[in-house]
Amino acid sequence: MRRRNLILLLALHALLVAFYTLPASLIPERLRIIGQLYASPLFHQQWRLFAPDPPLCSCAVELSLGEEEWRPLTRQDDGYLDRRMAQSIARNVQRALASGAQGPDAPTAQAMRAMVRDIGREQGAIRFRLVEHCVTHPFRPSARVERITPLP
Amino acid sequence: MSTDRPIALFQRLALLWLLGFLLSALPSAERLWLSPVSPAWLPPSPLRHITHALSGAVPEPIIVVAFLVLGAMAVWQLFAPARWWAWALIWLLFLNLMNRAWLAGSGGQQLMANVLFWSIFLAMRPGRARFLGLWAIRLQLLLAYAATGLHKLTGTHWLDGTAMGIAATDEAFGPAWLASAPGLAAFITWCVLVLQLSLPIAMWFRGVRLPCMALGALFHLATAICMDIPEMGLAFVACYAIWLDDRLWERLRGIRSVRS
Repeated sequence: MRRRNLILLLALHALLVAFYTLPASLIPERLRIIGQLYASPLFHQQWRLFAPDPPLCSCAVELSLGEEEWRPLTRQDDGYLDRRMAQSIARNVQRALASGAQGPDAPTAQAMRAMVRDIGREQGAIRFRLVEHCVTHPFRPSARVERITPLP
Repeated sequence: MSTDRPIALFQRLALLWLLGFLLSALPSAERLWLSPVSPAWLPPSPLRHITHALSGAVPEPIIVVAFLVLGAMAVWQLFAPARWWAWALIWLLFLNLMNRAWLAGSGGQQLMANVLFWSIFLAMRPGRARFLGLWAIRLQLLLAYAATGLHKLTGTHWLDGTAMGIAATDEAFGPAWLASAPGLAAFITWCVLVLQLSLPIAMWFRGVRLPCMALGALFHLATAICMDIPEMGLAFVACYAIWLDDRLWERLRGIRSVRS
């Protein structure tokens, strides 16, 4: 293959992946679909961490056994990937509640229980809740309002 | 301009990143891969049989073997001459393990999955394949910065300077003290935005490439330490090596020898 053809191939690849990853408002719907067909799942990527804006409400799923105190899904000594999974679950729950649902969808609820699989096996009934701390004014982000939602 | 030595450096850094990631994931292996917390998800594409072959109900020994083979291939390729089929296996196993644990995913892991795919071509003998791999990885890195920068431009808080303060006071990230210095938080917010939007352009100019990489590395190391996304920052820093060439390589060596 000639070098010119290789450059064309590279340009086409970069363009199609750009259609897939750039903001939807910048890419016409038709090109976005073409980009999606090309890039997913082989070249899947998304670059929206803290974008377009960082989340105004922090969130965490907490659990309680019977009358015990509420505690996070992860233990103190859990690694960063455990914390990441707990955070992803909390974001999914938050999204579901924000869309008007009564609780998380079935796969998220299953993931929530899987995070505390060992406790569940020993103790039986576990209660979950979503705890959010929401910014009231972006110029004073430390002043946050707490919002607690019991989960079914 | 020859790129052989920078490519070799890039390959080593990518493998070191991979080994570091696997080791750091080991304590969480039960939740990530053995009895995965992430629900099984398959994309509606025929390629899912390649990219998501380890998703869903897969016997535990297969996952253990996949993990061990991935680690062994990475260690072998760290010391042996690059073999394209070894890199293909590394890419395939990493991608499948990443997709099995998608709830723990990050941009850093996605960047590495893409980069490992194109590294297969870097490991091939013909110059044309290496050219393809080299430039695909270079463009991938720039695209990541451009995409995240443009996404931020479509929001509000990156433009009004409050984004870093908001992110830093989120319990999942930090450092919360940043909010007590709103001027500094606003300055860092705009610096991040400028860095992410200018880097895809500045990297084309050899004269400013090293200072850009130094600033980028500083930014990524700060996010790795302060914001609990270590593998993301380190993945970007590892990929910087692909933008070196022999002339920059010599300049880097010169800087190192002057310092020592």
